[in-house]
Amino acid sequence: MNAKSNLRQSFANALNLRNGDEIETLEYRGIPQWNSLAHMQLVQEIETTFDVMLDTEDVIGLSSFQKALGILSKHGIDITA
Amino acid sequence: MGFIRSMRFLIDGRCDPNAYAAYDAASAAWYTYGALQAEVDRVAERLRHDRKLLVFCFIRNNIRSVTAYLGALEAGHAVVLLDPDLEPSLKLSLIALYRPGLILESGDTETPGRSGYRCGIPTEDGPSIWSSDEPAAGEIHEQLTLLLSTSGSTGSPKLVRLSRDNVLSNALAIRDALEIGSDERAISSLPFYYSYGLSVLHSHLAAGASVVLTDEKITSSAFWERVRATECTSFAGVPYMYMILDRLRLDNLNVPSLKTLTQAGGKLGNELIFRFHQLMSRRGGRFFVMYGQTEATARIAVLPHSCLPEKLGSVGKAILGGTLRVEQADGEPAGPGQSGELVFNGPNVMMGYASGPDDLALGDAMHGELRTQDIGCCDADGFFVITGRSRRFAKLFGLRINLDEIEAMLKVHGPTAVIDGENQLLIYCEHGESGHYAEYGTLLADRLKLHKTAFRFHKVDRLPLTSNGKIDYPRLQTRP
Repeated sequence: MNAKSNLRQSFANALNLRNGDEIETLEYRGIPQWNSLAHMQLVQEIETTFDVMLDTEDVIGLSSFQKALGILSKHGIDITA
Repeated sequence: MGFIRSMRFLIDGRCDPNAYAAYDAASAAWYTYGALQAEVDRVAERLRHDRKLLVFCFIRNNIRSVTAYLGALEAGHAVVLLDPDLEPSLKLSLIALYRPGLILESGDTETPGRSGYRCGIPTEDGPSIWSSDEPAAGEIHEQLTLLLSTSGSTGSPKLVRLSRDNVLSNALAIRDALEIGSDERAISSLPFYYSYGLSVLHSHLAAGASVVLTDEKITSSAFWERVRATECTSFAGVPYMYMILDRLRLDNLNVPSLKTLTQAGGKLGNELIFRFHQLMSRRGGRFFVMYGQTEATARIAVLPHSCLPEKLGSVGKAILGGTLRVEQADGEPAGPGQSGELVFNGPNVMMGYASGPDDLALGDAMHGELRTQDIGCCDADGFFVITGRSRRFAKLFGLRINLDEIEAMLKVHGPTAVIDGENQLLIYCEHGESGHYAEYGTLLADRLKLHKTAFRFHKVDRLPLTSNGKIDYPRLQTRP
């Protein structure tokens, strides 16, 4: 499994979604179940899956799948793999 | 001062009409007390009727919703504040039961298929106003002003009936307990259909202070940008929000104006209370632990910042004008350290409950006394500690959830018992297996807007019963 697919799974788990391509265009305003609790669940999923520690800026900046890719890349994870 | 006619019951008559009352993030506009009053009067004009009506107001944290609410009060109606994101079927059954004369919505989530209601010509910045062809004919008590749901997201028809005196006395008591001055500015971090969130609006208006209206969540950078740009001084949160705030680290959020944090809506762990108290002391600010119930309009007790860490774990003393006492099972007053039911007396105790339109005519059934059904004790210095809740309610992420309602939803599948675990509901079923449970969990999560991990299912052969055949909840509670 590559990083993108793992990240899709993190989103699917945290937001009660099917792991499909539409996740990649998700934004937090777009779906009602992305509330602050699901947000922290998502943070936890990402931290566990990728063994990273998100800082304050990462946590509050995590507003879309694309933003999440950027954060992973900042933490040195190869998101093209 | 003539301009303050309507909200005069909420707003201090001496407040400056040129002072800021609210900032609306959606339209990026400031409203002075004068401008807010003008908006409220405009809405009230459209809502006036030859008799007192019941008004359903689906309220968001924006200026349209707030002026709709205050306008309906100004027009002399009784207002029910409701969650605009309530499931449409639940909205419709509440409407069918109470048949309100007017329904106010702030735009983006209209309830579809509402028969028997006509929508007035919408104005650009006002609420959508739906009026009933045939409102419920019953009387509405002249004191009845505000009705709040006892459990927001299950759409329960049981409402708390509040009078004008309830609302005003609690707003003023909170203003005084938290020493809210006219220079204070609160960020609207909680919804207004929730009594704690609404108390932030009321107490700030009563103080001539201001409120920043936003629907942003505390996990979004936009929320904190708003706090920074509008220089908010206070933040109100329920326990789960403090867990998030602890993870975010307040000092990293670059919001130096934030000096006051208040916490209510359930028990926050002592470790976090200690940490936030230290943090706010370091910032030259204050952290208040509070206790309340919707049945008491909002607030019952407040623990001042200066009493920590000495009184760690306490919810403080009763607000001004109220008294709190502990009563033992035999009705005798409990001595210091002895546990019993907390009983509150005060001008903010509700008139009573309503479970249907006929109850709107009822007067005060409580006479200022509320048996909280919370268990606690009082120490030798008069500080109260809550040790348990005897009510069949759980506080989950600040939401009050009626356990019996959840149980009723699942009982169609077989015997079910639901109890409160910490930040989780523990659901014991004599039926089903993991596949079913996953499905029920998703459905419940959807309905209550919680994450599915908030529900933990256990299969049991037999639910423990008491000698008279009722579910033995204390025994379930002690299961490993």
